[in-house]
Amino acid sequence: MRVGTFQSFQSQVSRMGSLQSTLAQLEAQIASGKRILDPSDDPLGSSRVADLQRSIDNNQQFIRNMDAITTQLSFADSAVDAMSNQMVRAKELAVQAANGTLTDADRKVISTELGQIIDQMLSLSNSRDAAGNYLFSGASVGTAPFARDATGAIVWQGSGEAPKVPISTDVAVSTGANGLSMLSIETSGGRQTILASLSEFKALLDAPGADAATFTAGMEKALRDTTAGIDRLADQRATFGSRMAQVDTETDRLKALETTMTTAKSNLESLDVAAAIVQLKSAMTLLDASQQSFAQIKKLSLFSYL
Amino acid sequence: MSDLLGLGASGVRAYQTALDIVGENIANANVPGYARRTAVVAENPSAGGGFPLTRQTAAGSGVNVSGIARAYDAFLTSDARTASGDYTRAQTRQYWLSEIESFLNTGSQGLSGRLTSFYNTAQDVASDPTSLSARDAFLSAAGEVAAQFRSLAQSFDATRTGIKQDVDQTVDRINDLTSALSTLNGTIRRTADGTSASASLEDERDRLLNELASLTKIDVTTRGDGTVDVRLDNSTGPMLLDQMGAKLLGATEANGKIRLTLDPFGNSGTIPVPGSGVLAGLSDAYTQNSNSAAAIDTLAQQFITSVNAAHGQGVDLNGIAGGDLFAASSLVATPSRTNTGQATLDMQVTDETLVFAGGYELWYDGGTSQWTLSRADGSASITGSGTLDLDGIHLELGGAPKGGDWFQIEGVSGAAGMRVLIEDGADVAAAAPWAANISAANQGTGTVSVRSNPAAATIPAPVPTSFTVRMGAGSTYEIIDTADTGVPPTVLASGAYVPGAWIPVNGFDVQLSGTIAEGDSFVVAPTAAGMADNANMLRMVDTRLGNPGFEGRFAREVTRVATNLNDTKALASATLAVRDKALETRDAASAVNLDEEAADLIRFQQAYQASAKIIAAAREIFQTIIDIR
Repeated sequence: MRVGTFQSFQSQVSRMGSLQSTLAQLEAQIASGKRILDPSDDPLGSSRVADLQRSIDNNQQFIRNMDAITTQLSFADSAVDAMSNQMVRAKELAVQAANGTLTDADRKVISTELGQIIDQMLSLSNSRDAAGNYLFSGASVGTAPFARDATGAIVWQGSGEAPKVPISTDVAVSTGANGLSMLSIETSGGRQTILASLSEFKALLDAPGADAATFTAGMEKALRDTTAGIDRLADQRATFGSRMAQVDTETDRLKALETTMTTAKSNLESLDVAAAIVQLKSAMTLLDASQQSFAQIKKLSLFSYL
Repeated sequence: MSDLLGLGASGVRAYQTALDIVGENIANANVPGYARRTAVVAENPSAGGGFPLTRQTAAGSGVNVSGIARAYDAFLTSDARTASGDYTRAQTRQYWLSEIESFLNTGSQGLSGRLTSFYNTAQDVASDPTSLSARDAFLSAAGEVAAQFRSLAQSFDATRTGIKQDVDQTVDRINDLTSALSTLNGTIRRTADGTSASASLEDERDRLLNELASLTKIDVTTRGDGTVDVRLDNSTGPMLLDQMGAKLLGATEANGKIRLTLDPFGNSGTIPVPGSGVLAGLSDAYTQNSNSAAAIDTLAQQFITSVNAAHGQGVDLNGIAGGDLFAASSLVATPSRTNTGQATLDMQVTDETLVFAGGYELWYDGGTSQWTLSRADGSASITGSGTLDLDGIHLELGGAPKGGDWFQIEGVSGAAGMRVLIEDGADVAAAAPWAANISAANQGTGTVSVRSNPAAATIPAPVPTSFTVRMGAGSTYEIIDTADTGVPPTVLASGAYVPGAWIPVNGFDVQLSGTIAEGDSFVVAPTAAGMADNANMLRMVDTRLGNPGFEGRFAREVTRVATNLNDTKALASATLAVRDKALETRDAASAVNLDEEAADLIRFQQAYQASAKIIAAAREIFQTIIDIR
């Protein structure tokens, strides 16, 4: 076959050009450590990488959400823990006060301590989180859940429920508790809050010369109520605890999932560097060889011998 | 005795021409499209021979160059043309698709990442609904989404304009080529066959045809005299060039596609772009660009509709019903291309409802140094300098305008016009519109939930603003106006209590569950200001769901372009190989090989020298006769 001199130059140059673009692609891949530089390098792989990246981002958001939940629940739990301790002391006081031989002065001492406990309980019920929001006022986080009204009675002024934060696409966990539900107990005088019940207990101690029957009945209620209050707060802590456990489990699961997804993503997009370097070497050798053979072959011309 | 001198002279003349041709071949060895020429050397016809009884003993009449042959294979040439058209199509398409891919896929900085960050900041608001900084971050993410949609729309538009410009230039070039070919046809018709002139005209003809074939798909018919007829596409396609002359080609944009018109000033019918050449590549890329732009536009519209629908159902931190979060259209001022000044223009829309739908024009009068803003239909206008207010549009003008500067102000919609309407984080409607409360006096442990249900309307007018759901005797519920202090209050609706059942009320459904004592009550009222309610934020987060969701659908569009580009790259390298092979095969028949020419050079040089020797011999022989005395 005849070989056109011009075209043989052209095709040699074009072959060397394609080798050079292979080299450039390999260099870029090695420099970035990625097999897929543009989606068109591997459309399907690249779309799966994008899906995985999105799942990883979403997981991280859920983990962030759960961190926030854990923080809120820890605040709430420590407040309720402190309330339980106060209630244990209140129960001890109720046991002491139930002793019929106490004088009014003795009762006065107990009442003073009980007053402090009530103040503590009120203050703990009005605990705030790091951002200054009330923990137990439900949705109205800017309003203290409990306050004393004009008569000195402790009244509920919160509303709604604490927000539920998503920990997965279809599960949301409450970050706190509604103070009214949290502190309400069943008493012989109907449902009332622990705070109201303690206030009744204090009022009984403060009433001098109450008749024995009324006093005994009142003290029995105080004893039952403080016990019920301790139980109620323990239940509440258990609720917080189970939520935290749920969040922990979910966090662990998502972190494990993230590792799996990151590995999968890396498998899809990462470059086999060793193989790429071998390819680079081989392309370089090939280019060098074609350059040299080009130079040698092009020297050959009949005109050289004329 | 034969005319030895004449024979020698004919040889010298013939081989001189042959040497000239070799020289021409060597000189043009590197000219693309040059076809190797050869001198056709033939014996001169013998004179005489008319007398049957007389034997002709003359040696002959010498040699001459009967013509110049052009090494040319019609089939191989046409094959190379087709192959080059297929390659240029793939190459052009690859260039523009890479362009689209590069602005469409910008990784986490791109739309996909922005959408993800929009939804994730929405969840941050959901985890801390009263945090203003979380709300501001959410609005900023929403702004990024809108900016990304706008930027994509602009890139698609710039690409569309770029491709259209290339199409116009290509069509112009095609018209130049066909008109040059038409002139060439005339010259070829007048030139004698088998001459150097005709060979070089045919080289030029093939060069023009090759270029034409690299631009668009053509079908060439070569006539006996070397002139060509060119049809677009195939042998039944529209005639582009015939013996009468060339027809003008034009290009138009229609329905997201490029269409060609033949004789654009005389014919309104369009023809599809033939399937090879630069023009086909441009047309492919144009279609992909239009399709992707439309897909992104639809995506933007659906995203806006779906997020706005969710946002509108909630109330913000001030207890006010949420409006639209995104707007799907904006007013945009476009400067005229003829503007020479450097005016600055700051436009704000103070009242959307007053804006005239037909658009506006703004121009500067150099004589009076005044700007005039007028409705496009001229029904209202205002003239002034500095600031202009018309129909709820507030313009602040500055810079250095020049007389005659002109702006067009129009609404653009879809992705190009997307923007965020809310500026203050407190205005993000994160809360549900209704909130339910357990009365502090309740004796049961029953709980209450409320969900928005705009369709629910069971309460007769006048509808109270706050409702109390009260447990009546015998496990029935009663709905009363919270403000009704009558004893007993008016029951607006009632029914049997089924724990966990949703009871439609008025704009909401209420659900009671657990142990509820008679007389227990629950108040359902519009959500007040400052509530840490995230129900509506969760509704907005849910707009990302769907299979595929917005992020997935964007990713799918990227993949669509990437797949097309991937196929095109493969096609480009395959068609390049085919083209190179076709060119090699064509050149095997028609190109110059220098070694071959060197051999010819020696061959013809020797023949020339030999012929010269014959002349010398003839002279010597003649001298011999002169020398006889």
